[in-house]
Amino acid sequence: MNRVFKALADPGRRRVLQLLRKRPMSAGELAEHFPVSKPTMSAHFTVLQEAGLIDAEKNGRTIIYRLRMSVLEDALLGFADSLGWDMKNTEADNPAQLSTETSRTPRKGN
Amino acid sequence: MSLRTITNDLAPGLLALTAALAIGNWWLRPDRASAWAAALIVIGCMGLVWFRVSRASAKDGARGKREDGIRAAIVFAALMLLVSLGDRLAIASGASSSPDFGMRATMAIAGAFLAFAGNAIPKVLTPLGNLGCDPARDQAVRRFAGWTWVLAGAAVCVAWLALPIAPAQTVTFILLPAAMVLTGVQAILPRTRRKSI
Repeated sequence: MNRVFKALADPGRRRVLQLLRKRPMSAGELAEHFPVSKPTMSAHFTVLQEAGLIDAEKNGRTIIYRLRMSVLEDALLGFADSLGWDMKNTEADNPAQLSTETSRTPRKGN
Repeated sequence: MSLRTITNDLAPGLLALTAALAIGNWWLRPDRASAWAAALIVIGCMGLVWFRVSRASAKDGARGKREDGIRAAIVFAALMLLVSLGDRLAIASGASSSPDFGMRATMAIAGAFLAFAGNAIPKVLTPLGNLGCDPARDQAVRRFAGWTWVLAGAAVCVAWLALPIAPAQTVTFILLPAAMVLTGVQAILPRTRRKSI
């Protein structure tokens, strides 16, 4: 459960989950919404996967990410969004980069 | 402590306790021997399933998730039997005179189980290659079904804990068929053709 809280503590990762709520997406499609480097995105996908919130499946040459959240985790995501959980400083990686950049204009093209 | 640890540790103890209660009931109420014998047979079958599932999961770790679900179901079923048999034993021995307690507790546990099972519905994913419909729609249906069963189960659980028997029965008979119809309709109605992602 700690991993779930850690994953949900970052606004950028929550944005990834919100995008996946609409439909499964490839890594490229998700990356278009975040003007950050691929390794940074990859690190966030890893955190979400380790928490069991998303599932990655290889489809040809692309990796498709799908939501894999229980109802409780879905509700926690809603709470986290409404309460604005943000624990940037406790992260091992650098989510601040993703968190702050999610509010900017999405990157065009890919 | 993980769910797997809890179910692994709880199930044998619960089943043993339930069997002891069935034997106790048989001792105090021999006129209903067939009912207690049936309960003992059910408990034996549950024990056998738990043993086989535990052995299979020890051999093959990849199937662990499905087996965790079976073990959790056994724990919930054992809890329901335990409460029911415990209540019968308390009444037969004169320790309790409330015939409602067993029914209330059993139905509350059943509601909790529905909520627990519903919570896991969106977690179960079909490989993309095996999906017969749009993956977005499959995901939406699973999320809808999960939320529906969690809310219905929680409402049934609370109704049996808080309301008088008659309204609790009404709530159950309205909510559970409604949840079934809602999830069924959501799953059957407009199935869009599969799109490539």
